[in-house]
Amino acid sequence: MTAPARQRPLFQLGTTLFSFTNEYLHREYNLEQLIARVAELKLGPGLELIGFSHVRGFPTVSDEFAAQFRGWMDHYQLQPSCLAVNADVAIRRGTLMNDEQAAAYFEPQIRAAAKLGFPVVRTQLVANPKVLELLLPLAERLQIKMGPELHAPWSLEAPVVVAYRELYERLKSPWLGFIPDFGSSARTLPPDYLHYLLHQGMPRNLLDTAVGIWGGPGDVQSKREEFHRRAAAAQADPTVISALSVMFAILSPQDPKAWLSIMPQVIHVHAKFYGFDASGSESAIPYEQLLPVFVEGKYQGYMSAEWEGHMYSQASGFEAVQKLHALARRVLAPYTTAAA
Amino acid sequence: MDNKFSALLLSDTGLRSAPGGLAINIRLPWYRSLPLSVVEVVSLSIDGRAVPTEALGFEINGKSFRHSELADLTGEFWFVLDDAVLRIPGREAAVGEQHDIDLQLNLYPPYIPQLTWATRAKKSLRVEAIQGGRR
Repeated sequence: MTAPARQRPLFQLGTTLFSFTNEYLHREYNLEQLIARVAELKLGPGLELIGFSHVRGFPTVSDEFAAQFRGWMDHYQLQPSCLAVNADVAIRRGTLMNDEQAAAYFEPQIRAAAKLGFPVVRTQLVANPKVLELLLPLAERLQIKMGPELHAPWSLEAPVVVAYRELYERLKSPWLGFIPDFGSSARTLPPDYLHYLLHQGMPRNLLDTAVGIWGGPGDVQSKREEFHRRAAAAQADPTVISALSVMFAILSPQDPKAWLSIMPQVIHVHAKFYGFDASGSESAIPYEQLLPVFVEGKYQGYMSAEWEGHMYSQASGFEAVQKLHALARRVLAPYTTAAA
Repeated sequence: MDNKFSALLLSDTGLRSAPGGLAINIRLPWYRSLPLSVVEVVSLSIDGRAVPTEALGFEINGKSFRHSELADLTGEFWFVLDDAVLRIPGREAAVGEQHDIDLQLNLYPPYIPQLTWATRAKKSLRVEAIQGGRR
């Protein structure tokens, strides 16, 4: 009797252009040049954009731009995987949109996704589940899947995520899903990032305090409150508080296997990463454990390599994404070769 | 403390002498376009002398605004690749002079309601001629 063949990966890799924030903001590569380089380096086939970063005038998309973008996808043989849209609920400072206003704000962004040929839009947890319920008829008509990014600092058990899971249980729609971001499955904080903060003049005692709270017990809200209380007591500079607040918002700990509980609802993935150790493993996020979970869960969408090291590094996003794709291929190799 | 965007905020050739005052070209210290309603110049000083922010003008998309108007401009976006121009009326300087600029600009990313993103940039800049040179 032979052992059953191992499950082969059903998902495909890709890249979000967010990885190339350095190249783009420094005007070294324009949008088409980024897309061309992704194709040349074989960092597809999935291609993800951020509407408000990569499309001038977004959410308005001209017929000319849509035709040009679709032409690029054909020419460079890439597949539009996901359009990142934004829930700008605090667009008026100090107030929040209600659900109807937030849905109206998303609507042209979802139409833009359809016009450009994206099958999925990435929304954000800051919009209530009710907002997607209001948008569901539009999504059905345009055949666009919608889902919030499950991003740090929230775990799958956080009330904001549970509210979505309850809505999905009630509506049972194939157009609603989730987009895991691996920053919420971190093992630790990236060592390069902590070195950078110290180099920039971050007081060591405040950094130690923040790192201790990050890795300690308690839920997100209590960790944030404790950090802000201690930063205020230390009379920290506002730029220092900004930098440390971001640290809490980009990475948080969670068991990689937790994703199995929502796997049938996963419509896209952000393979977030920062840097690598000497052996080629990600220095803060356990890809060796995460990727097999998505193979075993039979996830069938795209996984966008999303390098966020540009937050503290001027290094090349292209080299970073090449390393992530190499790591992914190494971890997936035992699953792609037929097992005896 | 500088962040990743401090060097982007003020470019080396961004200080210009213009009719009626000084102009400083600035870039958005964030990775995506944002509405002007979440942009705030917190402080600006030239050679250690504070410039009152209410005196500042703000130019983007071929339009001019007073700094005090920004908070209401929820529909006017600063595209992430574009320069905006801060206008400092009544402040004269000759082309070629060096001046120390210290600017703090806060962003309130509208999809992260708890976050204030403070970016500070300090640079000594040479006053350039207005674009196209002096006529």
